[in-house]
Amino acid sequence: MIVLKSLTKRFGEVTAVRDVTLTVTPGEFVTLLGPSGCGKTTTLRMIAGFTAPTGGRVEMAGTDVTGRPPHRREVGLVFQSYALFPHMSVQDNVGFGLKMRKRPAEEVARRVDEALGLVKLADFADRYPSALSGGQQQRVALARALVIRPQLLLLDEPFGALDKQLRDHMQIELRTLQRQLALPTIFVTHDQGEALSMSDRVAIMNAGEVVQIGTPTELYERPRTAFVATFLGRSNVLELDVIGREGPLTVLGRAGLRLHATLPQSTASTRRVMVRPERVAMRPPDAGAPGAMTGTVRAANYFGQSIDYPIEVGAETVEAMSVNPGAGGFLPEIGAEVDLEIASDAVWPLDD
Amino acid sequence: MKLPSLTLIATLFILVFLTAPLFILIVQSFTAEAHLRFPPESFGTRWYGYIFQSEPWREAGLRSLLVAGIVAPGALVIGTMAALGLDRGPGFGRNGLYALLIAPMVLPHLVLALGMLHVALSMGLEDTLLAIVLGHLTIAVPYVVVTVGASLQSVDRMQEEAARSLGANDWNVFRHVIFPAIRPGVLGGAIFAFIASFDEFIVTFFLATFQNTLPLQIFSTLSFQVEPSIAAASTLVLVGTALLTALILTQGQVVASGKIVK
Amino acid sequence: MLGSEDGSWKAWLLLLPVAAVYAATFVVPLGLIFGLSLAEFDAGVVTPGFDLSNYEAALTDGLTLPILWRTVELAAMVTIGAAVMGYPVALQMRRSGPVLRTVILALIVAPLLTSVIVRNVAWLLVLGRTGFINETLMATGLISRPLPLMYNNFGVALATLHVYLTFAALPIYAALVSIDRRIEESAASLGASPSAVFWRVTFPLSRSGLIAGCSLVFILSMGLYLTPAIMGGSFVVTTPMLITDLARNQYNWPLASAVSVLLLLAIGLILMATMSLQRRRG
Repeated sequence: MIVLKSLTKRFGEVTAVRDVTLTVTPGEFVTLLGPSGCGKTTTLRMIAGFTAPTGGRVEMAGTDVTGRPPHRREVGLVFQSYALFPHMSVQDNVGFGLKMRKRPAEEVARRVDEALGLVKLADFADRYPSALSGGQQQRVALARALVIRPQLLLLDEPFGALDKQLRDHMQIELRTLQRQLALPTIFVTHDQGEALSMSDRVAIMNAGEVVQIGTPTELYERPRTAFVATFLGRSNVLELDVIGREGPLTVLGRAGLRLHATLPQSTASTRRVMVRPERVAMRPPDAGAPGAMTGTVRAANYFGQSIDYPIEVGAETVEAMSVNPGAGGFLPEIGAEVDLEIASDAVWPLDD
Repeated sequence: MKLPSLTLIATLFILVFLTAPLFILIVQSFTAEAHLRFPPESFGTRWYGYIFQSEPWREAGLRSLLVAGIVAPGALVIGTMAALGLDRGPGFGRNGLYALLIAPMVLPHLVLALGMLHVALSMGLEDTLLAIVLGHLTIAVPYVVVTVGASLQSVDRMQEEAARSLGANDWNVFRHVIFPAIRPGVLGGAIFAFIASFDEFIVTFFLATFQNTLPLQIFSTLSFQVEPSIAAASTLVLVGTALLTALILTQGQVVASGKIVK
Repeated sequence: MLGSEDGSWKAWLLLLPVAAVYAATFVVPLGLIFGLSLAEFDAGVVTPGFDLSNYEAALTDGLTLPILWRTVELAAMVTIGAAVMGYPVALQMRRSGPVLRTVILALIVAPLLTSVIVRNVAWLLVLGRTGFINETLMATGLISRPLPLMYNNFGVALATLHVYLTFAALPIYAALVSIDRRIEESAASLGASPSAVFWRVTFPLSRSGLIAGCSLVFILSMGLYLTPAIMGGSFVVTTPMLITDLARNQYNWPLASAVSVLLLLAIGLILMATMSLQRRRG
């Protein structure tokens, strides 16, 4: 179990990381997600021991390791650039950590073979890093980090240098391996797709602070703030007036926009809510439909599997996304009028 | 496009300018005559034989080798440590510190020599090997700082951190990650340091009275007359430094080809 | 230590040996020279004090300043020569393929590894009264009397140039290779002729290297002792030669120190001038 308690780092006047508290349970894959400069890399460096925190502490297996230098932390690290040793063969790279631990030669050889087998590079032991592809280099970096049997695996944007297809492939492979070894892992990335698809839990960071921690589903469906809502996936964040109540639902609206939402009782006169574009349904206009909202299609952005439509409703613009319905489906023209339907459970209130 | 041909002609001319005098020197050194003339009428190794038998020439040559042989490894260790310390030291004042470290390279050596002699006199160290070695160290260390400093720029900090996370302590990080990366710079620094010491004139001129080195011997013979022994000794120095450079450069190449970067 | 920001005290430890050596052979000696330059000198006796009479003597003796001026002149000659010769070589290196570039680079750097006194001896054999050039020209009957190629500024400057050309060529080359070729290509695509591309794009962008190389050559040339001593005989006297004479023959250390300080001052002025030149172009 890895515990971060109120981890804080100040550089002079600037607070790079403020009060980060996080627990990684055995076998858990936790992602630190945030825009560049949000403090996620500094947090990672504090966990690895390269940066001394100005406050708080790092505990591993119940021991406070905050003051321990990196080479005595038992943490496996994989960098974006892999940082393989260019002058060492693959097996020397992988065996480095064991040699530092003064393991006997035959044990080093055996465990290096094991680790290379794990990442499917058994035949590449004598190659030099420069003779490997990006994906292979990354596997070597992974094997090198795993062979020391670390208490924690730290991944610093490890897929950044790979092209899209290889990246998808390596993500699956890494996650499978991590599950198989039940190795607690902290993964740092700015790629929200990566974070959602790989993690058990995601900690979203902004301006040095963890703004929300949760499973991918929790964060996507129930973001607390507009930052989380917009950083993770696409969303319509709308500032609306509280108009009244209809049964258990609160009616919100502004200009031509009308939404029904399940909201806790409050005296506030306006609310900020989030609606995911894929939850905005479009229909051909039907003047007779009760409570229909009508808008004008301003543009159509074609992505192949889906199409995005910014739709003007009164003074607001609502983003609607429809999965490509193929020929015969409803695909409104630019400039056309459409009716919009937003279910009440698609409207999620934000804290700020 | 007439500029390329112009620069090519200029370059060829300049390369001739740089190399021709040295060829003439080598040819002249094989004169069998008593005086230097071009072209010599008869050739032989007469003057090489002479400088090997002449006590002052031999002694000066050996002393130069001895001094440079102490100074080069000394400068290598001190300079590499300094470059490393500068690279890893605190951020503030780094440029100023670097300028201070390489200042002996650009400052007039004569002024340094004058001051060194003053210190040596007050400590009773004038005309000692120790004083000469210390003086030469100061001239040689900046070369190592420059070459090692430059190659430290190419050290990947991530590799260091990777090594550290795998359990390497300071020494192991240096030995397994930093040193392999800076090795060409270290070798280059070693050659420069050796040659800087072997070639140093003015500092030795001030600090030594009877402790003649090869440049001093050439100089003092010159002020007598331009004897062919000077050409022979100079050619030996030339060939020696060229061989040393080639040797270490090819070794450096072997090292560099063993590790293929990226 | 290495790498982590928390142990920079270890980095300071690494600087200890160099600090010890420099203290004994660089910092203290320079300090002593400053101190001595303010001492009194009377009939061979040095009295420590705070006294500007040595500077006064140096500035008014009608010898120190002209020699300093001549040293500057000589250094300027060498610098101009190094720039004029170094630039085309650097340009050619950038334009050449890898093989030719390596050959040129090797030949340019080789002089750095060759002893200064050896090169001076070589030039002596080329430029001397019975040297290669004069003997050849006399033998072909082109001249009847040897040309005065050395024991003058020309000979000294030429031999110095041989030593310092590299110091100009390398920074220029470094500046040239850092120029993005696409900038030149855009200039050409906008209608600039090859020479216009060179003078309006390439040359201005390489200026920092040119200035750096020139200032280095200038500063190094100001400290020359050996080359003028060999190639100039007693006909070319530079400030370092004057200082040597004052210290070693006249035992007037205070005056020698004062002239040394003046020399350092002149070098400092040159450095400041080039730094402001570098800054002005941003």
